[in-house]
Amino acid sequence: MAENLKYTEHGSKAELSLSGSWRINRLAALTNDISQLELGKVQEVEVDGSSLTKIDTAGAMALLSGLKGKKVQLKNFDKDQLSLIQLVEDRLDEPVPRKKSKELGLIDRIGRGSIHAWDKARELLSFVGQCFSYFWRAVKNPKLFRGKEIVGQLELVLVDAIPVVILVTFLIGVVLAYLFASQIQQYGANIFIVDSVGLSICRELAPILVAIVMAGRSGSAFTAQIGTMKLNEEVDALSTLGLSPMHALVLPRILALVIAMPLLVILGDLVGVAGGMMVADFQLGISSTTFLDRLQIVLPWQSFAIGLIKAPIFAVFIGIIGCRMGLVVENSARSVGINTTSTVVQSIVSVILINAAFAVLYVQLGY
Amino acid sequence: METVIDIENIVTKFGSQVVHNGVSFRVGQGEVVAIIGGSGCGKSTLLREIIRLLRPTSGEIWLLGENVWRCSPEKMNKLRRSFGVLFQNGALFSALTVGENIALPFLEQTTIDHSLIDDLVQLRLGLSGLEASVAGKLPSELSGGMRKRAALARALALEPRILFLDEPTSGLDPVNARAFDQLIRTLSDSLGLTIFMVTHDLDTLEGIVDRIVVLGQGSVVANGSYQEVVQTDDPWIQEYFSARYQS
Repeated sequence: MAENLKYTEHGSKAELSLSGSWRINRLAALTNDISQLELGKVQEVEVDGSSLTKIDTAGAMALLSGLKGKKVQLKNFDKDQLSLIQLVEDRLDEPVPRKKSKELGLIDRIGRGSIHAWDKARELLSFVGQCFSYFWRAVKNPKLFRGKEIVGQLELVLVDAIPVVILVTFLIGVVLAYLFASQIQQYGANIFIVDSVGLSICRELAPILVAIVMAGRSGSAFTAQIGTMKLNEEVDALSTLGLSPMHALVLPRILALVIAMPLLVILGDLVGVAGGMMVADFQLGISSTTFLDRLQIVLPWQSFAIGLIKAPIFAVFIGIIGCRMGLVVENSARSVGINTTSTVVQSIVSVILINAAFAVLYVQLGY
Repeated sequence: METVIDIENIVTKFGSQVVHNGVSFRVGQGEVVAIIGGSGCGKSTLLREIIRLLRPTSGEIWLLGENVWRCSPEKMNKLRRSFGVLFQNGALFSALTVGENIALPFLEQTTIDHSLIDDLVQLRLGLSGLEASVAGKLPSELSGGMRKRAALARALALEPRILFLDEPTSGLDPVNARAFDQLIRTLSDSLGLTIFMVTHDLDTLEGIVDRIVVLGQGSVVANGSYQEVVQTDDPWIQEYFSARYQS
């Protein structure tokens, strides 16, 4: 017989005498013991608590759910134990079977996914429209451009980003030059390293790298900042104070990014080419004077401009995505995290797509 | 009466700002004690010190016979199982459903079987006055009052002996607030819980609290039943308790 209960049967009545400690740390054993009683015909159970030392709500639950369907009479419990058991009896709900989430079929999923994607695309488009309409309102009434906020954001997205942009573009310039140098040497075409490094850094790599750094650094920060403000009802507070969140939060961030990106791309061009120049000197013996001389001849200003034109367009996309994901945060802390991740992914993917579109466009236009 | 919380001469300083300057009082087994005081007098700070979230500058805190700030981490972990905390905004984990929130302490601290945990979760929800179906919802889908109840269910999970409540009725409408008060009182009476709360709610103080500790100027200004505290001759206390009759 189990150590915490003694069971005796008298026809349709039975007596159950509890002893020792009926607490949560022994819950499994208690549940097991009580489920092994064969209560088949018994209608009424008298529970004797005279030698019970301790009982908590888990113990009471084990007792009551073990005797479910029987008439239970409690005797010889002390007052506190009785009130505890009665409270548990009152509040012990019929357990609701846990709902299993329905498995979706393939077609069902594709359908839901498409509808979801369509909704998202429409929302994004309407947000873009809003951004431009608010921008136009600000153009007509320049007071709505909030200079102070723009300058504050510029510090965050431009000045603070300088070290990481220098590091990333310099190292990519170095790596690229090494790669080219090892190939070019085989053909004795050493001097062409200038063409390849100059062109690839200025036309493609600096804009893309800066855009990726911005997506990770600034786009995510926009979402986190605005999202937290949304959670804290600060966004609602702004509107009730007569400040439109679009003018106070969204436009300054996007504009700061649009100003910052081209400047950072110019910086990236310079540093990346410098990295390449250094490797050319070490590896191929091309002095920096020769390098710069050649660069002036082989790098047409259009290539430089092509890289630069892309920057503000990347900036608009990153800014819009970052701000929008912040504004659609729902009322939980988790949502801020999810949206921040989503901002980075969306930004990087869109930057790479736009870049590909530009590449095709330029080739077709003959640049 | 057995003493379960013993606070001896607590001093707390943040830089040069002195928050507590020698706070001492005791709470006995099964008591419902509320701590009140003006904003910034260090009520919540004291609560955080008792549950070992914030170290006091000096002084001793004893909880169930253990010195909270001197005992080993293993002892403290054992001690943590014997108290539950209801934070002001519930502090339910937003990534988990209500049921998972309540099941978490069982999964982390015990070896109870999963099917039994489900039953325990239902019982905890029932004890906090929530329907069993709430278990599948996310905290963000609940109203403020339900969130408090769900957080209470989590605080009750491991059969604590002491319950710490930080402003349990703030943000609730009067009907819900009184229902929550009654729930707390019922739990205290039926389960023999000791309850220590920070509150501003005069109805809670009058209705369900056994003893009120008033903090002011860094120390305990008054300590006694509602009737005793109301009659204390202290200007702040007088103003506090007459606040609702003035307007």
